Amino acid sequence: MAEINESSLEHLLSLSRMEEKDQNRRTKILKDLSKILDYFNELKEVDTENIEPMSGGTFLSDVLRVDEEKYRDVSSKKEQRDMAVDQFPKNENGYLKVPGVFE
Amino acid sequence: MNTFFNKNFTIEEYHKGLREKKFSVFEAIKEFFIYAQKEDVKIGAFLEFYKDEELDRAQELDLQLDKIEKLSPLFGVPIAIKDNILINKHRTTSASKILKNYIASYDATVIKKLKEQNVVFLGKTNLDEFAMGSSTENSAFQLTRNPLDISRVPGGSSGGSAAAVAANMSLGALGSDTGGSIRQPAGFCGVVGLKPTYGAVSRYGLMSLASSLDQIGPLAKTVKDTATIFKAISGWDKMDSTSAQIDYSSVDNFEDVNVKDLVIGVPKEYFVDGMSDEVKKAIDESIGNLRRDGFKIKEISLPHTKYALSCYYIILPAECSANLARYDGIKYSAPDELKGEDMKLLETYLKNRGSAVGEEPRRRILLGSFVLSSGYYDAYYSKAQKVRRLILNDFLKAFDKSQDGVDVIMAPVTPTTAFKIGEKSDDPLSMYLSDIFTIPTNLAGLPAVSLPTLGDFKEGKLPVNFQIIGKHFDEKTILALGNYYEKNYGQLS
Repeated sequence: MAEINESSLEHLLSLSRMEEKDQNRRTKILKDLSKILDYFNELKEVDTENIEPMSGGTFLSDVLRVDEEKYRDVSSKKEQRDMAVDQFPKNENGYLKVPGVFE
Repeated sequence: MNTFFNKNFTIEEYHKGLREKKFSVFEAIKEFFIYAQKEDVKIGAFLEFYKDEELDRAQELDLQLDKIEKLSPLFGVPIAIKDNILINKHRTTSASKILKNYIASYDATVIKKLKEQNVVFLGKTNLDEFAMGSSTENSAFQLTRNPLDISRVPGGSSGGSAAAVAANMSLGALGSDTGGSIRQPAGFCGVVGLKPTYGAVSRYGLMSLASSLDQIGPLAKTVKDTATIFKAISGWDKMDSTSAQIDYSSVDNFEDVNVKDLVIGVPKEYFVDGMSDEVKKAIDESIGNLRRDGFKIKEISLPHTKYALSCYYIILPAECSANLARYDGIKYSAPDELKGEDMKLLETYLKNRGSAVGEEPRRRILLGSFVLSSGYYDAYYSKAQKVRRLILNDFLKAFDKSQDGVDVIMAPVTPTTAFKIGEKSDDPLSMYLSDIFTIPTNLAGLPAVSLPTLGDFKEGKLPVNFQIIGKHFDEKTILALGNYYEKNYGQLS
C-alpha cells in the first residue's frame, strides 16, 4: 500500500514546509520511509470491521472551560507577553513582524 | 560530605538527613554541583546547570528550614529536569537547534508544583531532539553516555534524566514518556521510572510530541522516591483539559496495599523472538521470585501486541507533524543559522525547518504528513486508530475481574540491554523496535513502573528492568508491588 517516490517526497516536503536539496539525504529519506511504510503492511491482516477509531488517550468527555481570564497570575501576563515578543526576530509595537506573504 | 554519593543515598535518606540537621541544604547542594559538574564531563547528561541561582535558593531554603514545622517531602531535594519541560525565564530547547535560543516565558505545571515543594533544580537534561528516539543520540547538542558503561547509550528519549540519576548526580529527575521514553532509559541505566496514566499529570508546559500519548513522569533510585515525586506532580490542572479529576491522596499509603493478594498476569506475546537471552533470563528469574513468594502468576494473552509498533509509528508521526508545525524559527526565537537574513516568509519556513530541525524529527514530520494525506488517511491513520482500540481492549479484557482478570501485568521493558553508541543510529526501524514492549501501554493510556530485576550491577553486567503495568489511575497498586519486589530482590547495594 506504500507509494512514495521522488515527486511525492517533494509534495510532502512542501506540505511540511521543509527544504531538502541534498540528493544523498533525499535518497536516504526515501529509502527509510519506504522501509517503514513496508513494515506497516502488517496492519492489513488485522480485522477492524466495526471497530470505532480511538482518537485520544483519555476516556474523558470533551469539556469547555469557563469563559474567563485564562492566566493564573494576571500580573505576570504582560511580562510573559513581553518575553515572547522580545524573542521574535523582528517586532514592532508589541507585535511579530514578518516578511510579506505575497510577492 | 562525600558520603552523599554512595549508591544507597535516596531522597528519603537525604530528607531525613536534612530534618536531623546532619547537613544544610546549601552544603548538600554545593556538593551535588561540584560532583555533578565534574562527573558530567564524562557522561554528558546535562545541557545546562543552574549552579549560581540554585545555590542562592539553597541558602534561602536553609533560612526557612528552622521556621517550617513540617517540611514538604521534597524540600531541598535536588531534581534534574528534561529539557522539553518549561521553566520560566530559562532556556528550553528540546535538544533542537531550532529552539537553541528560546527562553520559556512561564512554568510548566509540574515545575510550579515542584517549586511549591521547594525543590532545587540542578539543571536541564539532554534528550533525543523533541523526545524522538531511544538512545539520546538524536540530540542536536551532545552525546549522553550510559554511566554503567560509557561505550553504551543511556536509552532515550529521557536519557539525560536517567543517566543523571544513575550516576548519582541527582536524587531524582523528570522525564516524559510517549512510547517508553522514561521506562526504557530507566531500564538501560538501572533506575526506577514511572509512566503515569494518561491524564494523571498535567502536560501544560511540556513541549508536545504526540498529545494523545505524552505523559510527564519521575525517575529516581527507588520506587518510594519515584512515588514521592509522582505524588508531587500529579493532579488535575485547569490548564490541561486532558488532565483527570482523580484523587491521588491514597498513593501516600501505597505501602499498605496487601500485595500478596494480587494476581499477576504475564502476557505470552511479550516473550517472543528477538528478546536477548540475558533479558529473558533476568525476567524469568524475577517472575520465579514472585511465584516462590506465593504470588498467583497467570499467563495471559494480549493478542494485538504484535501490531502496536506499526500502530504507534503511524499515530505518533501524525500527531507530531501537527505539533511541530509551530516551530518555524520565528515564533520561538530564531535559530543561529539564519538570524538576520532577509527572506520571504515561505522561504524563511523552508530554510529554518530544513536546516535547524534534525534528521529524525524531519523523518517523522514527513511520515506524519504522508499518513494524514488524502488517499492514505484511511489506509494508515484511520486503520491505526482502530488497531489502537483493539490494543486497549486487550488490556481491558485482561484486567476484567468478571472474566477472571488479573490485577497487574508484568512484562519486560526492552528486548535487549543498553546497546553500543552508534549501533542503531543509521537504521531507524531497528531503533524503533527497541520500544516494542513499552509502546502498548502508551497506546492504551495505562500506568507502568519500570524497575531493576536486580539492584546490584556488577562490573560488566548491564541492568535489566521489568515493568508492572496497572489499570487506569491505579498507580498505587503497581508502586506497591514494585516496592515489595525492590525491598526483597532489587535493593540497591
